[in-house]
Amino acid sequence: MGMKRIYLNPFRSRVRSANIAKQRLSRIIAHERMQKNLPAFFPELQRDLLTVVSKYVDLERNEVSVLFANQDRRPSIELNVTLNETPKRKWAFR
Amino acid sequence: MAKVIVVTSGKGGVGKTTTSAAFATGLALRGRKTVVVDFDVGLRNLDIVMDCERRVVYDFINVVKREAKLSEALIRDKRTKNLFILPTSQIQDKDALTKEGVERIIKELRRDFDYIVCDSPAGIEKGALMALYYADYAVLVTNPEIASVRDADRMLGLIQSKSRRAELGDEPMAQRLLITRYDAKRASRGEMLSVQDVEDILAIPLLGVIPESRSILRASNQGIPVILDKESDAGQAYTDAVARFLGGKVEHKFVQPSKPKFFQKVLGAWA
Repeated sequence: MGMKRIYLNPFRSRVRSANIAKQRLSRIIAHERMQKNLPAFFPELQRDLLTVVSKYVDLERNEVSVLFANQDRRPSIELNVTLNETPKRKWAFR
Repeated sequence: MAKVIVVTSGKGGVGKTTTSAAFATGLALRGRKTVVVDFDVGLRNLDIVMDCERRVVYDFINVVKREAKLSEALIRDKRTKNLFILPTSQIQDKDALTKEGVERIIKELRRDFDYIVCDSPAGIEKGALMALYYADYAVLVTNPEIASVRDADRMLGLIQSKSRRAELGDEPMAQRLLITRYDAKRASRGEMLSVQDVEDILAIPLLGVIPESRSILRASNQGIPVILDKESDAGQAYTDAVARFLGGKVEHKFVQPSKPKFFQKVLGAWA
């Protein structure tokens, strides 16, 4: 029982905590640097896009995201809509 | 041409004032006429770290408000030639530091000094922004610890967007990393972020590594900048950092754990 507790306790674990710190920091900082480059209009655009999408798709049941990305110094805005729900009515296809 | 240096960090308690005092003293020791300015309005501490608190008559804010002349507020350091201190006020007044006032004083200081070292307050409020606004060179102080590194990164963002150089589109401010309270032994065991880890994350050139040291508290207890303690590891590390700042090539000490000498090992067995 004593041994088990030692291994479960993160303060006593033999894992190199500096590695964990570095991974956490890299993730946090990458995210925060992204926020810094956010265009001023982004929150409003995000809200407008979600409003439009919600007219056609249930936001609660589907995965909808509007993201700002900045890969290789090329800023882009991504709208992702993943449809999980089976539509109540059949979608009309042209 | 005079140079304005800001010592900043974002997070509090990482060693900005200790570094400002040591760095300014180091520059003066190398023959450069230097002034160290306390930007931490309301919480002044540079004066006690430099042991001149009883000599403060007028301060930075009095000069900003034109209640005193700059020459009346500057305190000549009693230990080191070429070194002056501009203490700040203890009165809490958020609007005491105005851009115009600070600009006027920096301009005047540029005429008389080679280096102007600005000791920034913690945080990202007005005082910190004022301290970095007119700077040509930033010393970013950080401990090898996540909160401190994260805040340092925020500070880099502010330097790149809120400084005068950034606003005018001038050549960007030089930025250098100073890691303080470093324990090479713990880093080598993977218990602490290493110098390399911090460099990887912040991606700015390394100015120095100051080891965790008892000499720091001993120095501030007495009001003596630690750089004057020539025997101490931290004092040596600051001396090397100043030499690097002035263009010298000095190897980084205290990055690798020192191998204990035989008799120390033997003594260690009893300790």
